[in-house]
Amino acid sequence: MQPREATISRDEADVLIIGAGASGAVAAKHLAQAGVGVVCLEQGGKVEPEEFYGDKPEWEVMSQRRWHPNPNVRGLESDYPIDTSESDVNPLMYNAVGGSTVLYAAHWQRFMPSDFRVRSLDGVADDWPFSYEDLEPFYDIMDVEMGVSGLVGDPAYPAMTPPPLPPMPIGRLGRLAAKGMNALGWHWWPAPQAIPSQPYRGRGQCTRRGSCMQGCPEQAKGSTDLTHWPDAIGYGAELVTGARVRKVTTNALGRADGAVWIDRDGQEHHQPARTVIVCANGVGTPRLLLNSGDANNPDGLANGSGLVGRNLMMHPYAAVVGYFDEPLQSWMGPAGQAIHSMQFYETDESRGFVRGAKWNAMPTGGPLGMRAVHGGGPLESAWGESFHRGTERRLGRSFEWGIIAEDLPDPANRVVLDPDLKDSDGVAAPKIIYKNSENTENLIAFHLERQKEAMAASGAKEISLTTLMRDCGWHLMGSCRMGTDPERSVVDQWCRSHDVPNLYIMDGSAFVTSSGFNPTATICAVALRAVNHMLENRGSVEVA
Amino acid sequence: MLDDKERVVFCAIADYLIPAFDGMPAFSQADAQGIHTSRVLELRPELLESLTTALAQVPPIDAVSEVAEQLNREQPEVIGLIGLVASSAYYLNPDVRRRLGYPGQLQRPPGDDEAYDYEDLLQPVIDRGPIFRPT
Repeated sequence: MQPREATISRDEADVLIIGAGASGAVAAKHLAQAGVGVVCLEQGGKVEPEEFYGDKPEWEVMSQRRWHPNPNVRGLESDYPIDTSESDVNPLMYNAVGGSTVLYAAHWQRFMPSDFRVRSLDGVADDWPFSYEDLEPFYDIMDVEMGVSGLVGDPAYPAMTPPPLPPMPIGRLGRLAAKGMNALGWHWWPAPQAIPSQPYRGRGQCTRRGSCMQGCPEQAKGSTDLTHWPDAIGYGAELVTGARVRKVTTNALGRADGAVWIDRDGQEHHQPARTVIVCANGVGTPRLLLNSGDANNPDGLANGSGLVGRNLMMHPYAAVVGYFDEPLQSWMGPAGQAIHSMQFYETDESRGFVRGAKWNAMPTGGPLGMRAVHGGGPLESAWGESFHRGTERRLGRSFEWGIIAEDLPDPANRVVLDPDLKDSDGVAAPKIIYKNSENTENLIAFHLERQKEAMAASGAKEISLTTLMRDCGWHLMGSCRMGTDPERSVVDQWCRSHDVPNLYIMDGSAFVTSSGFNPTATICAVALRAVNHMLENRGSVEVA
Repeated sequence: MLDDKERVVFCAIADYLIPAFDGMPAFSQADAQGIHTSRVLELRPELLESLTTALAQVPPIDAVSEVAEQLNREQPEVIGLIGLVASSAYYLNPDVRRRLGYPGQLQRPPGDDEAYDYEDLLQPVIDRGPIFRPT
């Protein structure tokens, strides 16, 4: 794959895609395959496998800075700073070809049918403008394109097409977690993952190094720099790296006609386009639209509803770690999850909250762990003999039950432009204003209690709780939500702006609700559904 | 990298944080030549300036426990930083890893015998039937 160096592109693109992450890659591949002229602008670069440290002793050292998921910690030029001073949760992401799939854990989870009918079933938030069944064919295609490993028959879902690869082994910790769930009569299932259990389409078999979340040096994990961009470029898509988009531009008719971008020498360019698709996800997309305001759009582009940036959802994450006597090899991958559970996913109002969460049983990594965060507590609690005892207790003998807590849309949780903070090109940076709701807090408290029971049933000798992990905002959703009413949503069910008919938003920001699942499979499926609709109606699609 | 004077102060406090215990070496035994500390600071150069600044603020060490406790009370970020660098360097030592039984993040491709070895465990889940709400 040869991304083009930043140069002035003078030709008008049929479609300009902003962001080369999960959905941008899917859109680029399928549009280019259909003969559409695609240009994609990506502010980051292409990561090479030798840059990762998962196959080196310094893996954990580098995970705390260079390969940290928080852009404020990394502080790379390709990142933009984010003001999180008014947020309970830090948003996480990676800016490069492949986007956050470079660092994600590759949990490849479908939403459940009820996730698309939250208003109808539970009286909260809104229904999606389409159903699980509408999206299912696109989930199936994405399973094949990503190389998903999993086991068909999960009773948490309707019958579905089997994924292309058999499940990854669940390992010792998965078996132990499963035994505990069985003792309680609770649901579990080997987890679906965009990680190949066998060699697949030029990618090697997962070797279980366990460094998925700091990049896969084996080039096995299904990140879209590997699964989609080589094909997209092969079909003729142009990928421009190091290209930070400052604003989407509009013509006299109010239609999007391209974007202004800045190369790594600070030079500005304009890329003209007939159609623009924004794929910068739940923080980057509203930031760009808010930065794209002009005299005709004083509140930002595509923001007639006033909802650009609002209803941000980030999936607050909590967890219980159990410590066991027996060796579990719990530094071994995949890092994301061995098994999952939806036992407490669906609403039961007797619990004192609505909606629920997926659980994931995860390994706990290497010896360094979270040493970096200690400071100020009694020294003897973390250092001295406790330092050694803590490592002996945790290393290889523990696993984590994590909670992906569904947070509901709240207009007060939002992305705004920070009045002072700028990125390295002087473009206004985002600020996150985000507080957990009482429903979320009750949900997390309930699930933590159940996870403590699950750990006890698995035979844990001790447990520790994380009631809210601050660095957990992997899942950035809802900040340009879709719907049928232009006054209550930003895009329609095909991800097309209500206000600007040739502007599309195909990323997590279009989500109506967050579900309790890792969202990348749904981000990709929704994008593919929208692209499919564009192509089916290409004769009548409005352009600049 | 740290100069000799800085390293003496660093090792004194690091040994207090990571002492010899139950077959595990103390910090300065595990990094006697400073190789691992240098490697950590090479990979994370942004820590070096903070660390040297912090070490310059450490009062003369007569009783390391008193100094460490005082720092933890009054400048917890200094203890946090020294602890971060020390533990990062400590766990780079191959002998420390061997004593812990930690092989590192090695390649371990799944074997055929691991592919689906939990059918017995899964059967009760299957037997209980669907748990989703149809729409």
